[in-house]
Amino acid sequence: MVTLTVNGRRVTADAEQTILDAARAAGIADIPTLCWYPKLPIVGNCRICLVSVEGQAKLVPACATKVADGMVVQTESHAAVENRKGVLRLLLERYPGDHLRNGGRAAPRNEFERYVVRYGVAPTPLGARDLALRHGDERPGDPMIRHDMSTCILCTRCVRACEDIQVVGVLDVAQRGEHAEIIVGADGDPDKAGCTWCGECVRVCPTGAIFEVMPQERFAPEQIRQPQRTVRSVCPYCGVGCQVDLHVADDRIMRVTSPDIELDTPNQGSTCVKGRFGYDFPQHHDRLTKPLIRRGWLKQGGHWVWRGPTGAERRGGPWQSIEAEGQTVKPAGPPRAVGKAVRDLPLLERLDMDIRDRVATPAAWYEPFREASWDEAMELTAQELLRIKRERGGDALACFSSAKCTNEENYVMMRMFRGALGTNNIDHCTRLCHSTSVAAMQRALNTSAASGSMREVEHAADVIFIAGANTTESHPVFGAAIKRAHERGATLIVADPRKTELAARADVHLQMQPGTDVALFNAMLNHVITSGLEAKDFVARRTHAFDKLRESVRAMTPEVAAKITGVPAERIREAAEIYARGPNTSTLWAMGLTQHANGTDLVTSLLNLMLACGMIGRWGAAMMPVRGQNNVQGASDVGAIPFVYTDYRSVKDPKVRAEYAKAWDVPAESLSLKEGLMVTEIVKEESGVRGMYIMGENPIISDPDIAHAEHWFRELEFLVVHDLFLTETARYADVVLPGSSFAEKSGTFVNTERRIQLAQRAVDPPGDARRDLDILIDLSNRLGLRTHFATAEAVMGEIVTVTPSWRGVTYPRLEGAGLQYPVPTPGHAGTAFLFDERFPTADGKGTFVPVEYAPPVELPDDQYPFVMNTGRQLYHWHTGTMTRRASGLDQREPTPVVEIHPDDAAQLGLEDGDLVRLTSRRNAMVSSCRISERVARGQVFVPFHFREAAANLLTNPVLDPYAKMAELKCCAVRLEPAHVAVAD
Amino acid sequence: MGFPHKPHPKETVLLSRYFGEADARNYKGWVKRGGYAALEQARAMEPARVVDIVKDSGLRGRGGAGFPTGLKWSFMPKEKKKPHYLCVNADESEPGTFKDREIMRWTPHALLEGTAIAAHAIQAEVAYIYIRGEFTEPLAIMDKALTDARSAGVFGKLKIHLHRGAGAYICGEETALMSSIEGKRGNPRIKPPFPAAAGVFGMPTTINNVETLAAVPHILTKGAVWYKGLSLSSPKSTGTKLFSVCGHVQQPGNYEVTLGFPLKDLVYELCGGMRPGRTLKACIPGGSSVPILDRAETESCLLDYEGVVERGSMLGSGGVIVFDDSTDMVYQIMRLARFYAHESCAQCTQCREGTAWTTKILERILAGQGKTADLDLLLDLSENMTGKTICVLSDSCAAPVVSGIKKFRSEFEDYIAGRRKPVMVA
Ligand SMILES: Cc1cc2nc3c(=O)[nH]c(=O)nc-3n(C[C@H](O)[C@H](O)[C@H](O)COP(=O)(O)O)c2cc1C
Ligand code: SF4
Ligand code: SF4
Ligand code: SF4
Ligand code: FES
Repeated sequence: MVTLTVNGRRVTADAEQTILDAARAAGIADIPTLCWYPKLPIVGNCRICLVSVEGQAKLVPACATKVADGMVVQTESHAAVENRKGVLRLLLERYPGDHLRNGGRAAPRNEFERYVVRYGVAPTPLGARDLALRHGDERPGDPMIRHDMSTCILCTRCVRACEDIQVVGVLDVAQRGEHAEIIVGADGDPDKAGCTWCGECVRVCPTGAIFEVMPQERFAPEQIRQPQRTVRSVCPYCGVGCQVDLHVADDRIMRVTSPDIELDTPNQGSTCVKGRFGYDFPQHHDRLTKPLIRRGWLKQGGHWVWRGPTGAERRGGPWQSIEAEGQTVKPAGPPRAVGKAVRDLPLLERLDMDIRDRVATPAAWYEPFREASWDEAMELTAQELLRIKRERGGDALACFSSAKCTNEENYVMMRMFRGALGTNNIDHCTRLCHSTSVAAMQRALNTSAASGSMREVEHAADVIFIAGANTTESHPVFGAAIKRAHERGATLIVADPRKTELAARADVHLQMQPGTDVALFNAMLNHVITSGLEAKDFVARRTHAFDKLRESVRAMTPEVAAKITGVPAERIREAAEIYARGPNTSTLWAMGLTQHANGTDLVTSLLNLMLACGMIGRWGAAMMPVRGQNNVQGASDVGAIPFVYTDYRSVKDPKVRAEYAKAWDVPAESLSLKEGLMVTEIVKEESGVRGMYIMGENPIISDPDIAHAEHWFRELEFLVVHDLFLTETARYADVVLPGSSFAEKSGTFVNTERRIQLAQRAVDPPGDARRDLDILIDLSNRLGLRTHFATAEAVMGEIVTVTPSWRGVTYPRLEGAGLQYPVPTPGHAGTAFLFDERFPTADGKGTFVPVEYAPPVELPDDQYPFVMNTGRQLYHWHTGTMTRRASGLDQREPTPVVEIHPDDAAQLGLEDGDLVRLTSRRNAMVSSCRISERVARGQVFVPFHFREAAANLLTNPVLDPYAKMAELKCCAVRLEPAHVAVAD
Repeated sequence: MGFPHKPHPKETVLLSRYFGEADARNYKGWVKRGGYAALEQARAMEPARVVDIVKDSGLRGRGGAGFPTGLKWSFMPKEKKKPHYLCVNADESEPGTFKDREIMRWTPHALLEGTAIAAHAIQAEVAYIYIRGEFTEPLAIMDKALTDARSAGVFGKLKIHLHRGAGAYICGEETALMSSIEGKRGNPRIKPPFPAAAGVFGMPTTINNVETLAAVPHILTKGAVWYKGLSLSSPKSTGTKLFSVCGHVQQPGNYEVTLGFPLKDLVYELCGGMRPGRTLKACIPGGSSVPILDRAETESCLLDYEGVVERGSMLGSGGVIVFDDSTDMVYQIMRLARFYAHESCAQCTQCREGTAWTTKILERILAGQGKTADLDLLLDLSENMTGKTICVLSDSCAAPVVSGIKKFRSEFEDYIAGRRKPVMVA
């Protein structure tokens, strides 16, 4: 520590701090800064922060000068102030006059103008200026981000934000002297330069030279500057759980910004393109604003009866099935909206049609329904659910709860199904996400969540091992953190059949054949053990059954694995050694591993490797299944899964049951002791399920083998769909309930690192749409379960009483960073990482579960020579219900594309953008293709966001024996050019 | 004046002794002339000993700042924890400076030998010689010399790379040069950290000018005391220095004299005086980046680090630009400002906008559209540009403007008042 004097006040500071840090920390002197920005590299180029230091002939930059003992600093000395005026005057000389009327006395609109006003600097009148306005690349026609480079002051914050926070490097300074300007890649095309539209550059720009288009197009400048209110929420998309601030005007979301970079949020000020620009779907004209009831339901004598057609006609409609739509030739989409290279692209507002209408709900879809009152809709729903329960028992009912809904909603939903309907048939899309991870982690460690934190991976891991996770596209904010970790010097190993962005930059890329992961990990284990690199002490103290494991991998030498996986044995050895040597290795995985029919085994073999090397339970050695949806963790935590109540407490345990019966004030016998069915088991004839409640999920698109699912849903006796839009699944509903989007309700979400975060309501649901929680509370009461929660906070009040690991959670405590559970007591600070001492098993030890390699169920052959892999794209999310109705995102990725390796494309005679027909053993569909080296030869990548070319028409519905996960990642297909419509 | 030519009797030829002898370029020819003996001598010593000798010799940097070379070397970490680098600044782009070019053209091995000795002294395993991009001939010569000497095995474990610049003056600034070597945009960096702590690739680095290093072998063979004795003035300015003289003199060219030599003699005797019928009006003694001297200051100036400062300017790189009475000082100053405006790396606000604005105002004055307030504006701008930026390019632009207005104010006023015919500047 050193002591210095700033403006006459004594200040103590860390010797590594700069004058600026020290002064700010001491709350002294608002030293102006332009180029400095928290966490960006210090370049000291704007020169506005210069201050006087006694004994120094020259002024020194406060942002770049370290403090020293006895230093005497004057931040507002005459020389310093004169310099600042000089700097501002020079910048003003090139700043557009109309941005600063009244000689600088106009209300300042941005950081820069505030300083101009503070120091009273007047710009030269425009006509009398010697210097021209500044230029730069402008991104014309861009749907989300544009530049007005005349207001750029060349602070280079944007350049550094792109390069050092996002680790992309799209922006740079070109030219010298007065001609210097900000450029976008080499030729102005952000696409070619690798831009991800994250908007980090927008966030850091101090003048608004880089700005968001959408607010500007829809709201007045005054509104943008002075929002009606700004509300902290959580991004509705992936499992990173970025905190966002929703700006509201005219009771609509006007704009999304990210909280201060210095706050301890999971995103540390960043978001990805979806979080920052994907916020306008709640205002899409497709939003359901009234409950819908299928025509044919009539109320007679106080009772609802079906008077419509029966049989196959019952749930028909004037629409093409997804299967049929898959076969159609798609109109070529509009060009991807980008910057300079498509100068002439018409702006959104000048297009004749709203570009979004291509995916909008077709008018015909509404035809089978009539609008209804809430009372009618709820009455009918309650009547039918109770009828089915009465006639066929509770287990003839099932519910898909939602990983996009809050903990409170999921809790009330499962409380309703268990408490009022007496069934455990409640599940959600975790089944198609990380259910296999949960099964594997339960088997080995009796745990269900990540052991560590994202910031731990970013700052403390020496080695980062990523298996089957395309983090930079699926979890972009975490992806950027991993890239920063790599820049800091962490070693990156990526196991992925595709050459994803992280795979391309990895130190070791293990590009194996899809579905051969067990062979790969077992071979790594084999090498670790034969080289004696296993963590002997850890294995001895904290695990069981290592000998069995050793035996099981003995035969899987790197050479054997090389034949199976296609990865050279040398690579496998190298990766194994790096992994085992650590010292701290973090292990990350996602859908690439889990979405297989042997997903549990795949994850288990990875966990075996992790445990054998002792890479868990230390800061920097994290076990991180990367969660797909913003509340998939929370929905599971609060019991929206068939086997457990909250906190993963078994439904089979009568003691547990008694506790919940007491909390819900129901007789214990009314709660079922039988484990419920899982998503993939429910959608099967033999499930016996006849009535369903689906909240915020779209299984027809997201579940394997769509043709089968479409058929099954048609046959139901009663189906309620509770959603924002009339989704593909809702078309088959009897009752459609209009719910609320993330912005329209308060509640909590749990991100991928067990962080419970609070989201506040920003706007009201449109029309008669209701808050989801209100709908569920209303229905619970109608079903006879007394439910009296006034607010989400009240629900949390009940959740914590039945959830030991959340006991210390209260809404006030969640404000700000949120809390990482376990939070067992009111004073507990939360848990950043777990298992430093013991695992939550009976004896505190983990167990090795040996697994053998088995080839994927469906292998390519002569007839179906390609391996198809499905997954996500950067701009879309899940079944596209939300993102395809977000105008910016949709313009970036408007039409379905499948990715094909250039060599395969050449062999098939396909050019970029050509239509291609994919046929699997189950079905076929037509899509256009994108030629890309990211996929290996012999593989195709199909995103699952597009109903008109639905990937799940082709996927294989075989299930993982433990978690009932479907084989979504790997099936065999045939490809052929499809220039004409095919009707077979 | 090109080489070969006989040196003027008042010159002290040390560095330029073999200029003009084609044979000296060859490895064998160089060895015949006693080359690489100094390197062997140095290698036999502890690095610290070499540093001490150079310290004792009083040698100061010839790149512009005149920093004592031995002292700079002594800043390198004594205990080696990371790789050490040496950078050789051969980017010579300062207007009016063309001495390093001649050293590389005629005596490439002198530079290589100096480089190897310096690398030994600072325990560097890699040396980069950063050569100005336009220097195609010196590059070819250096390249051959390097290949020959390398195959003769004189460098031992030391790796020497030639790195070619791409036409940016700013890359001669030491930290910009390092950025450029790293493959980045050639932007100067804030100091501290100084290169000895974190230079090229973040490793401890020393950077020296070509002429500085070329002098080092002489110091080793003949001794620090001998070198220190080479001075006509103060013990703070020792050794010989090449002065590149250009402008309105009879015989422009490179002249090597002992420091402390009168500037008057350099102009009137060595360079054969002014063009016929003309008289000396002004002189920039240290490349283009230093204040302008008027006639009286020029004729009383001693060429050493302190002498030039006493007259209000700086020795800089030793490029002497001489103007006679036919010179339009406003135009000359505009040309200088324009050079700096063109070369500003554009990081610092004061430099990026200040150099451009200064140029525009000067152009306006020349075009007959000047205002009375412009001179104050220029001085105000220059004040704003001095001592406030990351590197001193900004100061370099201000220096000729401030001294020019001070010493030749009436010429500016003539344009502004319309007493002089406007000059159209493209
Ligand atoms: C704008 C600018 C340009 C420079 N250009 C050169 C140059 O071309 N050659 C050179 O040797 N030094 C140049 N310098 C000086 C170097 O920064 C540095 O002081 C010098 O290379 C150190 O070597 P020395 O100690 O041997 O003189 C320049 C400095 C500035 C500020
Ligand atoms: S949007 Fe993101 S990736 Fe694109 S230029 Fe801006 S910071 Fe870079
Ligand atoms: S665009 Fe904005 S952030 Fe980028 S350099 Fe210009 S003013 Fe700075
Ligand atoms: S003073 Fe000029 S050349 Fe030097 S760093 Fe600043 S902008 Fe670049
Ligand atoms: S804020 Fe310090 S130089 Fe820009």
